[in-house]
Amino acid sequence: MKLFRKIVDERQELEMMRVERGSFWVMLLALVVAILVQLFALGYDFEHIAGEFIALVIGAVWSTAGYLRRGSWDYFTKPGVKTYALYSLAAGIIFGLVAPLTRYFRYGAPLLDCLRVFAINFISVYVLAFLTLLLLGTITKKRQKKLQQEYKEDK
Amino acid sequence: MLRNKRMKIARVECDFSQEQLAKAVGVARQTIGMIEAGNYNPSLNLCIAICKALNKTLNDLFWEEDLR
Repeated sequence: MKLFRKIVDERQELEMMRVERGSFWVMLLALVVAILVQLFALGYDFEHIAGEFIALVIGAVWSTAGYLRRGSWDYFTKPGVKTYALYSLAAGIIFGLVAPLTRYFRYGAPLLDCLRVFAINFISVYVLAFLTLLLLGTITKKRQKKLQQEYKEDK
Repeated sequence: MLRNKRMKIARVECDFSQEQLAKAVGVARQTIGMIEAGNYNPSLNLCIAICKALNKTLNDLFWEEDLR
């Protein structure tokens, strides 16, 4: 006997999944913001945010693995060089700005120093994000092809 | 989404309340109400279950003539 028997119908399940999807993204985003604020604005060490970081990584790995298994990418784009470049640019700008802004506003570092930090961070994040997306995109495309073969029309 | 009057008529013809139809096909009463009101698109499996419970075909209840 199953310990938990599902007692919701398909509509209720769909509505619950919509709510859960929204809350998942809010939590993931909140975790990223919390980690960045604690690390850069409050100056905490990594060991102070280890719990949040592990939760973030588990959530991200779980959803990424699920997407890869089903050959899904995202809601708005297809895997391709343009997409990787665009997302990497966004990641580079957002995460590249955190450290220089903190240095500028918190420690009053000179603007030129901050710009140099931004340039280094931007390039590092851009390259890392691009390579990661390239790898994930390639796996996704392969998986999509495999699934297409699996459900190919009988001749 | 359009209201599903045909489903409501078929249900009344079978002398089923929303509650009874919901029980017959294994969903909540609200789900039947929402399908009849055109606020929820049921899965094909649920459509078939409803058709069987009401002795109708998919065409009778769910095919939109206007869309052809």
